[in-house]
Amino acid sequence: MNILLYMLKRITYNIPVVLLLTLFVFSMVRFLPGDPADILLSGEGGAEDPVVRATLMKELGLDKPIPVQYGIWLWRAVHGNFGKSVYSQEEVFTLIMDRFPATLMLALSSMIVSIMVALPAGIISAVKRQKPADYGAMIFALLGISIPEFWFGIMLILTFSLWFPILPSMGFMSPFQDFFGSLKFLVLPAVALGLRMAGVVTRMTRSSMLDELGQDYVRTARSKGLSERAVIFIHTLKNALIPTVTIVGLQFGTILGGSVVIEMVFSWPGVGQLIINSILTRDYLVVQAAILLLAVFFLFVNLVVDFVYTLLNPRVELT
Amino acid sequence: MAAKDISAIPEAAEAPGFSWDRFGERFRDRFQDFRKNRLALAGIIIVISVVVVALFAPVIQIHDPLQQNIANRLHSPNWEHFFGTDHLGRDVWSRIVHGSRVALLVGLIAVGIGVIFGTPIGAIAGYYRGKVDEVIMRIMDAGLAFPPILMALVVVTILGSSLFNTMIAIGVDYIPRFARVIRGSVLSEREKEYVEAGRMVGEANLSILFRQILPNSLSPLIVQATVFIAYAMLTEAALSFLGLGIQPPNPSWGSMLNEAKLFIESDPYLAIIPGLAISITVLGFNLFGDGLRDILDPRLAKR
Repeated sequence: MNILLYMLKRITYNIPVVLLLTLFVFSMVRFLPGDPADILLSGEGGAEDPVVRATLMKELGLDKPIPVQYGIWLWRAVHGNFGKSVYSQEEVFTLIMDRFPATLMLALSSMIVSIMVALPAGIISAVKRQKPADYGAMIFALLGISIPEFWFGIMLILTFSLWFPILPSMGFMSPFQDFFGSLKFLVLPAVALGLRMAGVVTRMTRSSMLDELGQDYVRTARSKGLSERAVIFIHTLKNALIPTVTIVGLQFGTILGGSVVIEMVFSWPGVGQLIINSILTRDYLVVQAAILLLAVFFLFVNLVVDFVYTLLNPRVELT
Repeated sequence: MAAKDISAIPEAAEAPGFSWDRFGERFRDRFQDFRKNRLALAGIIIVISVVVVALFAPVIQIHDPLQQNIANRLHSPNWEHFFGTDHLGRDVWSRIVHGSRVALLVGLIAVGIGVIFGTPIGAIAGYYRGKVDEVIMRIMDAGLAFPPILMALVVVTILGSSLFNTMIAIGVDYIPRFARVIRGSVLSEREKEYVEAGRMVGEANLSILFRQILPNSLSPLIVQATVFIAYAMLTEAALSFLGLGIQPPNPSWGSMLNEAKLFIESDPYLAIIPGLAISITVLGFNLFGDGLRDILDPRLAKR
């Protein structure tokens, strides 16, 4: 099957999934205790006035049956209209989009940090199997998947901001304002957030490297006299990385989820912090929209990973 | 349909799809390997210790975990208070001991919810395939599209924060994950001969599925469940840390960390100790899970 056709198929597969997501998030507000109209109108000015309220309800279709309400809500959502925040009176969509770059920057940096650590660790661990380096890497990976990232973050603050004050414990600076200055703020949260993924990717890389090293083509490469280095880097690694790519895509979700907590630890002004603060201030329209957008973004990233995977791996069957 | 000559397939018809004896035998054989696997052994020891601490918390505690004593606040670890006292003068050791109950309870119940609802959903999708599978798995995929903590956050937002709601929130997040695991293993299991044999002797679909296929598909489920207990503990800690999980004054390792934030400079032990408790417990379950995988799933066995 043609690769373009395959991509089209993957995209269409995701359309019902996105629709279900919107349905789920739409229902969320209906399940909240209290009158949904109160929640939905809370951001609009003058909603206490019965006349204004009636007009607003009509405008938002709240006097219509639920399926129609969903349709209206969806139509507005597709146009980026998620209503107004009760707390700040700002457009919900603008509020989220203002903070999205910070979250994306944090998420991408922690992915880079963790891959930079995990790939070498996983490769060394597989090549030096059952040797001290292997045990070291495996213990590191186990700690990575066992230590809560937010506690690790607090420990980093304790060490590098309080005991040896070399890095700031909280805050954010735009890289466009001062690139190196912004890195100082980025280091600790990115390392804390990347820990878990580093553990997962190390384990994955090790096990897929071991799989590949046992294959016939590796034995052939060795027996024709290639150096071990060439066997590993030219022949094995390329194939071993294929499952790693998949796991990196899936782990992106963990990173996004983890960013919610890490942003609170480091006062990082991203979408995660917005979600938690909005839950605490009962700003439900913001919670609803932010969660929907993060989930859709996660789906999108997985779609991209899927394409990269097919491009990397000619063996994959396009069905 | 003409009656099938059952005698033509005597062995297949007689061979039971699953027997606890064989399961036990396989388990015993592999247990020998398990004992040699030191990391897994360490995992078991940690898990058992945490369970013992949780069961006997009222005995192991030295003080009442909720008893405040402002005059005695923020004492560093000493002989009377092994782990010191917190900002309200409560004994940290006793709070850590009782926190193990919260961690285990949330881990077990959340995974229980995921297994109880996820198993039949995934089994039906895998067994019937086709349209049924398609519809069910799209819904599950929508659930999986929520990054891990976010789904729990949605549920907690709707239901409010409490111990009970934390367990539900995390459990709901696990339903699609377990459904997916079970579906995969049912898909491969349903092609085996004993299933065909069951069909030939006229066993009903649901009976084949739940009495033959499912028990044989349990291995990945057990491994996954152990790992997810660890993961549920981490999620509970995160929710409680954010102030959206276990509510004060109840001791949870995550909420203890939340309270410790303000005193991190003067009394770092308040932040270090609960984090160590979480990390060690989760590590124990992860090691245990790795060991179980080696036992139950020889294909993935340790290399």
